[in-house]
Amino acid sequence: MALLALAVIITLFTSFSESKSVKIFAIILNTLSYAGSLYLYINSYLRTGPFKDFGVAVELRSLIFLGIIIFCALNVLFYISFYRFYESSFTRIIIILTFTLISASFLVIASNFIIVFVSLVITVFNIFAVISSAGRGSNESAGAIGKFGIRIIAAPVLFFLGFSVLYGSGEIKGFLEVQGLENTVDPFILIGTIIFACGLFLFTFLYPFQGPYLRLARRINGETLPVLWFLYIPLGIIMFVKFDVFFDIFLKQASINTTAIVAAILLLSLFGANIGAVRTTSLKRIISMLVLFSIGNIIFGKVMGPAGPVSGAGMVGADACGLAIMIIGFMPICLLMIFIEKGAGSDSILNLRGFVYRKTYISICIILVLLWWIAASIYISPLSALFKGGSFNYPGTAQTIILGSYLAAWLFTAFNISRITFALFSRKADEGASSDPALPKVFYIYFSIFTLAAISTIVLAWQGLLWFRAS
Amino acid sequence: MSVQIIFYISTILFLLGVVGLFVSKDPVSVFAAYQLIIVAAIINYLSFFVYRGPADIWGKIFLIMGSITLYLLIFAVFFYIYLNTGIIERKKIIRDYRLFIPKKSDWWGEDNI
Repeated sequence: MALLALAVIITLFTSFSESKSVKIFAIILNTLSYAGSLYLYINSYLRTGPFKDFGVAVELRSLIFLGIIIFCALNVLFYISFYRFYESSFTRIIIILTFTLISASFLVIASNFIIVFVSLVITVFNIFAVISSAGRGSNESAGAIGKFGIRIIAAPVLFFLGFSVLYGSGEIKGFLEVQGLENTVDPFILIGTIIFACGLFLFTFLYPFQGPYLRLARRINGETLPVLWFLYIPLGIIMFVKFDVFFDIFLKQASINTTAIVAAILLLSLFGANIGAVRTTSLKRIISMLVLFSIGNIIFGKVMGPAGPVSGAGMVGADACGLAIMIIGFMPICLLMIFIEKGAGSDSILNLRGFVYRKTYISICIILVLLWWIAASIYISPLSALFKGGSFNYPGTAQTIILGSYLAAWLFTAFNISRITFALFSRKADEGASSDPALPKVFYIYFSIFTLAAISTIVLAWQGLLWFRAS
Repeated sequence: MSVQIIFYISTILFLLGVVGLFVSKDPVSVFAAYQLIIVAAIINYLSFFVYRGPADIWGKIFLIMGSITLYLLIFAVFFYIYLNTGIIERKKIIRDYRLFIPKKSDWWGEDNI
């Protein structure tokens, strides 16, 4: 983090310059600082091993999440650098983005609740600052950003309330003290857990509270959407994983009916996202809804529980893997959406028609990544465990209904993915229609990297070299 | 007054805040609803301070730092709304800042700008 802070300080001195070379220097400096900080995290972990003290806890899981967050921040930096380079606010956006990464890094490794809460609020503040600086494209977007801002206040306020309730339960000051409390029946812990769950639910904009998120996604610039999809939303999953111990306590003490109700609420997100995506032609809305589906899918897998014997490494991997799969699956399609929006002036899926005949290589990469995303998500989902003969500890009828609904939600997802694929293969663009702008060479490299990453996971899984397993 | 009664009072304040979030339209009312929830949390902290004794520093640090950062976030959001709302618009209640606004476009169909 010292490296990131140094990058911020140096970039501050360049913030008043409009010179192209100074901006390039700021980009290179920040990119190297992101990569360098990741290297230092990994290096120090390998040297000293897992580390826990009063304030922070660095273990393998947090290292994985740090890597994910830094990777997402690098990609966001790439999008903003490519499309906002000539704007006067460019350097300011880079500085706020690096601040976001610093506070998000603290959030990932924090174990004391003071550091958790303060870093959460500061991260949310920074993300709002980036979106409000970079996302403003019209008066409509200003209103949408304001309403989005009002919504994102709700989660930290609920967390503040939840920690106040938890404070009454005893000497719980951090996650270290919660570890041994699985069998306690403390009403303050249960009430606090419910409040945290409500806060996380609002944080991730799961259905039926998805309104401001979808309206914001439709109205802001395309190159700002990665901040929302790949920085803000993954932080929700990271928070969910950090508060895992509370949800485990709650689910252990909850009846089977309570768990079924929670699963039904999450199924609303899975269904609602896909059904909403079926009817719209806006690529921004389609991808936004599929991101909500991915988040709901990750949390659903946790609530349903393991369908058979699973090791600790497997359960740790499932959440991180779900997040990584979502990020690798959606980043290429996000870049394609931005490219289409900039070229055609709108993000309509109809602008993809005939794209495979104009940009064959990119289209093949997109199709491969989307198919991989579906296959990999199912591989780590509860469905995979059932295919291998596992079962869940639910009464037969409830299990049948819930899993049948889950399978139906996946069928809708496959339909939405196929919509994008069919749009690529639709009839060639009409004569006289505006052609796409030239695709920069770096985009070919970008799409190739993600396609190779996706294919390599298949090869590694087939060889049994991936250390995580489906539950 | 026992801790239990104070906890009930803070729960009532929290519920009032939640109702306010659902029904408030203008930003000031939404802000007031958030304040009710924050005050409920602060009442919890203060009552538990008394219950646990003066030696517990951790809770006091959490209350101070948490309040400062939370109000920083709230100020940033409402300042942004203030800066981006025209003078004419401030005089009439045309913008709906309810936390949860049910709209058909959030579930089905297009969201036309």
